[in-house]
Amino acid sequence: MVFSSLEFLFLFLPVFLTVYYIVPFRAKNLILLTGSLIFYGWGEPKYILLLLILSFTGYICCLAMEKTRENRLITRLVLILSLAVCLGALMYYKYFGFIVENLSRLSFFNIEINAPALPIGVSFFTFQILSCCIDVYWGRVKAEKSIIDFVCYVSMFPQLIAGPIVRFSDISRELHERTHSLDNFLNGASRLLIGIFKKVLIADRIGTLWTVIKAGDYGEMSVLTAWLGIICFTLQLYYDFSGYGDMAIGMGRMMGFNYLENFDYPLFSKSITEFWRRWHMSLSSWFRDYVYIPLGGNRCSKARHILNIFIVWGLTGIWHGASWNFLIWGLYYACLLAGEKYIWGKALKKLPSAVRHLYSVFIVVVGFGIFDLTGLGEILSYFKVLFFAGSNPLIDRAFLYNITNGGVILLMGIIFSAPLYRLYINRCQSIEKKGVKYALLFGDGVIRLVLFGAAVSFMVSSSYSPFLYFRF
Amino acid sequence: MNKFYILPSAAVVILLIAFIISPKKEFSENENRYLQDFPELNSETLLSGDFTGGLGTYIEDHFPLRDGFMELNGIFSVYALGQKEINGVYVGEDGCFLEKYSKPERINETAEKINSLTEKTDSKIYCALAPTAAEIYKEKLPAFAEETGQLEALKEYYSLINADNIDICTALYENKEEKLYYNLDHHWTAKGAYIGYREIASEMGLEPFDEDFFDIEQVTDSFKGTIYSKVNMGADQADTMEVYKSGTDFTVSYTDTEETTDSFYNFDYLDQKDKYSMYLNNLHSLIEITNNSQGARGNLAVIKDSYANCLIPFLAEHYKTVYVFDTRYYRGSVCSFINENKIEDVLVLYNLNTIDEDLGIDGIY
Repeated sequence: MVFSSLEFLFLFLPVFLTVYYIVPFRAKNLILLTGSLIFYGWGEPKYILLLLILSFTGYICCLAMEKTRENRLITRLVLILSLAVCLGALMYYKYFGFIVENLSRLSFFNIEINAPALPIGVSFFTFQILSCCIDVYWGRVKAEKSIIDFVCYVSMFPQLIAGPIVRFSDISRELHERTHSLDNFLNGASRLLIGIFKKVLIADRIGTLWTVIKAGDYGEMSVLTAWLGIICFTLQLYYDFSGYGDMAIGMGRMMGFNYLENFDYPLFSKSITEFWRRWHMSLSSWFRDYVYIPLGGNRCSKARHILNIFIVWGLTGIWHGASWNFLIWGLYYACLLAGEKYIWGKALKKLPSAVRHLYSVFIVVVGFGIFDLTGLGEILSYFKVLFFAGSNPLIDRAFLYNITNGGVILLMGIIFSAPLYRLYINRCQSIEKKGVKYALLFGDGVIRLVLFGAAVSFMVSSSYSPFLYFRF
Repeated sequence: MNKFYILPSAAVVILLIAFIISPKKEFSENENRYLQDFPELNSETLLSGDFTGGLGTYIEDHFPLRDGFMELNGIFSVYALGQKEINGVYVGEDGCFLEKYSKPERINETAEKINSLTEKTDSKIYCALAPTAAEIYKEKLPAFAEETGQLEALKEYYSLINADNIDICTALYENKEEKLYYNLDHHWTAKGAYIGYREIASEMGLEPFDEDFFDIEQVTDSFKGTIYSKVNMGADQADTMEVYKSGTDFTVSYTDTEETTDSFYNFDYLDQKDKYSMYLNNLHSLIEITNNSQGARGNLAVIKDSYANCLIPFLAEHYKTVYVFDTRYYRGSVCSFINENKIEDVLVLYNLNTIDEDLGIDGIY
């Protein structure tokens, strides 16, 4: 069940929130846990078991490490056990098929095994459990005593399927005490709404442009169409992913949780280093804290530091999916980050801001080309068009048509990827005159209502399927 | 905190209440399908996910003001976002709707099937492929939209098909000032079909009747067809429909349902959404039309799609007997039928869209 669907917004969420608000505080986590399991099992209940087994393993391991803290060896063994179970599950469900497929290309290795289907959100919740186990091992956080609270933390539906990766240390306090207020509810609901707008009004629509361009003939496509295509995908992915983040943060807030931000206008960065501090922040900080720093980070020799960068970004890449292009995408960033660190970073800082913005956006957009084009052949032929290596025309009708057909939405996508709305809100709040302020706030509320209507109409229309047998 | 942010939440509650108390429709006329019933709840449907899936569809199908939201989406897309197409339909320069034409994928297979008629029968085979509105009115397509490519496709079809191929495009172009296609449906109008008929008849060596010969009667002014189902807007552009009546005495027998009438039209369909089905009573595997007037001679078999339904009445004026096949449903061999009944003329009549998408062509053998 996706958040931006009628069944979620008009059935699951209202029913869940009503029950959640009615029950006394001590039962709220149990209700949240139950609701999350129903949510997770909505389409296909069989993976609930996997979620429960992994959560239970995490819970036991954390408690065991807490109890055996005096005996370093046993603590370490328990940690290894928890890592093995979580990473093992991740390997099996996410990478097994990929590994077998590539091994079977070798002549001496000939087996055929059906790879399991990928359980939704497995990359997110295994990382949550892992972070908790490692933090307990390091003594950064106390193990959770209540199994209900622990499973509740792992499976909390707002962030279960698309992040952010919430650390146990960040919300362990709120699991036991948090405030439920109208203010929190409205703040959260308004954040949820922003996420829905991003997803439904921008990402999905821009996505249809990319779908058409991606399916086109790369031999005939014009250079500008190809660029438009990957710009569309970049915007689609940003609005889709950050929209989900907004929805998660918003729904968390409606229940009194404060999740950390996951995106901070990443397309508005001035360097690639900065981009990765602002894009999918919960993932990059996860890899920083649990892989990069334990490997020695930058407090080691230059060669070792560069190696660390390559390990971390290779892993980051492959985390996004079991496919070569994700690995290439990760290593592409490793090269650029190492380059910024050791070669052109200082020179970059001296350039005017506009140039630095362009530099980052260019790299990010090209990167997402690698990200979404599956198969090396496809990437190569698409990039041939992008960089004038073929005999493709510069511009064609398809480009002009896409620009007129999707122009407004593209423009909106580009404008809102810069922190303008935040500026507007801050400006509104600093207005002294009561009447003006009131009118602006009222206007803001009404605009949201209208946009919500537009979003609902889009959701209704995507459920609409005329069966035109009479169209013969 | 802005207290007005309560508005969307209030909207959710109001819509939810409306959903619960509103009466549920069983059938969506506009979509031409039955809507989801409340799913059955038992351990099996729960474990397979059928219950939850059905519940999701149930909410979507019975969402309050569903058609209104559909229209809102169209209006928002076109007027606020300036989109030039909705669900595969172009929004033309003056607000008209033109269905996209996609390049044919089976030209060779189609030509082979039609050629098999020439090979297996001794009849004279004629082939007429009608363009769609997007070709005739291509100047109304949104700026920079891809050329429809129907003329190229037509050329390729005709170069491969070994039959007497009839050009009806030119005549349609020449008469484009007339209303040749519906605004909100993908078919041509009776007028468009009449223009097509004149070209076909001339090519077949018949003397086409003038328009004066017919009594032209408007039967409805509220036709909203398949294009409307796709875009859900432009209700103010609803179409009028006409029938061309003559004094000739016909016997029309639908062999599959064993009904016999004296009319080409079933006006019961005018009370429904799918009004175009009034021509030749919608779908039938084989219709036999007999012209009871003195002058009528010879026989004709028509292998066709729905474009032909409003054209056949014109041709029936000339022949003693006309056999109309829907090869999607006709189970026998059309070729054997033609040979056994010593049919002189055979007309293959399709529009360029359906000839590639429809499976009727595969039914020719």
